Amino acid sequence: MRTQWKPVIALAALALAGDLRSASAQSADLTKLSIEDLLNTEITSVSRKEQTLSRTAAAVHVITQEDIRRSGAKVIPDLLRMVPGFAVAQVDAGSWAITSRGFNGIYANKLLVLIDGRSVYTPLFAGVHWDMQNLPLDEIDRIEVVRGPGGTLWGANAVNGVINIITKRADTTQGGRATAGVGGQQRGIAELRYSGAFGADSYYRVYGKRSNRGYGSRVAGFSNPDDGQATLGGFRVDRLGDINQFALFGSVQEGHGSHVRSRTLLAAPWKTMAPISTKYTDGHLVFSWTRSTSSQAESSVQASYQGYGRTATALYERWHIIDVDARRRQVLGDRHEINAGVGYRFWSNVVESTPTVSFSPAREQTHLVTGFVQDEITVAKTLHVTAGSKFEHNAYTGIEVQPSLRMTWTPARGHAFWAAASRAVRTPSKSDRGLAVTASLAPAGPGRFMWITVEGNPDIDSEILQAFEAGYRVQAGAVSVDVTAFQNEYSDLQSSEPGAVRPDMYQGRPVLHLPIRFANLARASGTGAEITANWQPVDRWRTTASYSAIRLTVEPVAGSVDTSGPEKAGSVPEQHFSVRSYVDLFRNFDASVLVYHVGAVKGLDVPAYTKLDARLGWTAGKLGLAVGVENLFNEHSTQMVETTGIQSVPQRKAGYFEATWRF
Amino acid sequence: MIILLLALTGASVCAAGSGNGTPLDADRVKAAFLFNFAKFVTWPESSSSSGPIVFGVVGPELQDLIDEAVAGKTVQGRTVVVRRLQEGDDLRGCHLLFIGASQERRTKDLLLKLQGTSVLTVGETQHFLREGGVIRFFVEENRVRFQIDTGRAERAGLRISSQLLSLSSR
Repeated sequence: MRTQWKPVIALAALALAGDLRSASAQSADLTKLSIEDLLNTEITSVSRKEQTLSRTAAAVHVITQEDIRRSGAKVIPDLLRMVPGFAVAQVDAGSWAITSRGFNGIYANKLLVLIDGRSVYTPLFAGVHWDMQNLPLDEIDRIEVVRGPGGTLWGANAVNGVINIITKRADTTQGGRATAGVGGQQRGIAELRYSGAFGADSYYRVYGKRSNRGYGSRVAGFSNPDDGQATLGGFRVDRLGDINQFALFGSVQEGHGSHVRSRTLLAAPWKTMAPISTKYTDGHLVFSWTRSTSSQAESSVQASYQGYGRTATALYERWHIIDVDARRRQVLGDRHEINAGVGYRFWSNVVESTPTVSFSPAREQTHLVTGFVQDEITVAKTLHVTAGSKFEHNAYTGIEVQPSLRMTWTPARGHAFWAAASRAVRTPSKSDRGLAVTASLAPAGPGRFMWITVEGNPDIDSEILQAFEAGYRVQAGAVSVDVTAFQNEYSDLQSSEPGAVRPDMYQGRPVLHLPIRFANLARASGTGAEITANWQPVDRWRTTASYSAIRLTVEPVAGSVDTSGPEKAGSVPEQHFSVRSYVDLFRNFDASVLVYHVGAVKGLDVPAYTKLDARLGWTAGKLGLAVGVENLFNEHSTQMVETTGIQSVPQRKAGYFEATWRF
Repeated sequence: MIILLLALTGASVCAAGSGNGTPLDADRVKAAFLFNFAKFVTWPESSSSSGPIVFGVVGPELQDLIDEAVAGKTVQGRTVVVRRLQEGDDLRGCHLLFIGASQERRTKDLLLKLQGTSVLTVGETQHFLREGGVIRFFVEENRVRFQIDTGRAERAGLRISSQLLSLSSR
């Protein structure tokens, strides 16, 4: 947002002296500026590229580098609070329940998270281990979030949304940068990065990060209930030719942490809260090649490997995942732009179980094949229709089809209407198929015990969503508004069905066993809307306000005895409201204030809360400093009650300090 | 408290005396550049050397803004006229032709038709110079920049002042 002063003053003089047609500087005559001044004139970040984004027939939100720097956020989940329609609830410093448009929990499974197109969700429960997402925020170029089914271009499980975290190319970061921050919940972070060039058109970057989290507080009688630490290192190499572009990037990390959660005991008192420790190592390597011979055609291929091993007290999981995909964009004639691709994913997995939690099979290898095709048709100058479908074949549910029909109408410069109808599918995770967890073991009469388990179902089917969405975007001078509304119909939704009680043996003792098994005997319907307004009256001050509302109902289908419908429907707040304001002050200072009001989570008895964060930054040449406060009004507020038993550790009011040095 | 914070930041904004209005639209900056290019380019002698300078525009992107930019102005003593060109129109009567990004699919064909003429072609798509154009706009660090294919300009008989060449990128 920093502008060069000279053209600004020139413009101000012109605006005052000359053009009286309108009060706004939009009518200032730029032709009076010299070429040097024009080259130095900063343009609005709502470039035509983003205007093209504004013609996208989907609910898109982009988190920019400026949002990342100014928010004072230190972890990706805190950045996601900015996205309208998202529910972000922190359980403890390393556990988050994040979802788009309903159905929240730490095992939320309807949101696809990608980093540079590589999926980072774990096939174990089709969700994300957020404590393993330690990518330095400075590596991020932007985060593109699409709410609603991303079915056609992204994978299955993009039911309620897709997040794509795009990292910076190596040529856009040159030189070195060191950052250190202390204070707040992510209590210590140190990052170091260095970039350079070699050869005619090749660039590299290496980076490292070490971070500590946790307040060191006492909750429910436990000290340091959610501490953690992570160390990671990564690199990126980009070779940027005119026609062919190559990238190779990867990272490795190691971390550990703790949580307090309820545990089932095999003897009195049968249940207790106890700390569990987690440890993990994780790494990935990605190669990508893009070839564009003309503006009409482009091909790209990406191959990636990721592997991780993670222990949570005694439960150990290890994964090797290989992904290869190829895609092509081709313009045909005057009116068609085709996008098509194929992909192959292979994974190999080992899980070592405990007496109370197990997954079967313990060793597994599986693969899936995906393909998509999409045609964007220019029906008229102002009307574009996109029709497409994604296909997937997996070993468990066979072939899945996810078609989508979208249209955009741009009647005039600065206005766009869009509408979409899509079908999306969430394929079963390993947990859905083969989990067996002891929910409780307790005495039930003299010498007898009741053993209740929650079990996966190897025959479980995919969940299905039919989504109808529409939106309107308008940009008029200093104001832009983006409105979206949706109607979601879910079928074959997962439910938990108690089976018949039967005598059994568990841990060497006779028990009465009540198995609760997953089935697809629920359906749901969700209605909601999201509104975002941006106001930038002067170049140095921008304010964004968002409001979102959702109403969900979850009902059992005939034959179901699952009564948890209202709890699932009420797992997200009905309303969210936020205001963010960024100002460039005098003398290299800049300030930002972010206010989030999160409504009550009725199904889980969590009251509403308001979170306020503020940051003051100062930059001069190579040095940057920032101070901030976080959680000014939501101290001691619980954001989520985790039904799987993790103890909530409320956020606390805290101050933080950060210093950055470029060299 | 929030209102107080916003009021305080608003106050310091006013105190700092920002003279600018709304942030600048990249298209507006490009239209100003086109006007400036005409000042620094000399076309070869021909029958059209004494009439108005003709700017042709293909694509809706800059049409209104170019109209505004040239209204009532002269370049080297000549007025500037803007012509909106549709499919099938003759492009060769222009001195300067701007092809917008929406015409990406037709760009290569349009530039092929103009081979051998002395039209100063300006575009903004990634492959514009490779497909036969003379000047290409691009955005770097939130600023509009331009690249010139000097070989092609020379072959078209266009003389580009060294001042403009020194300000072009790469």
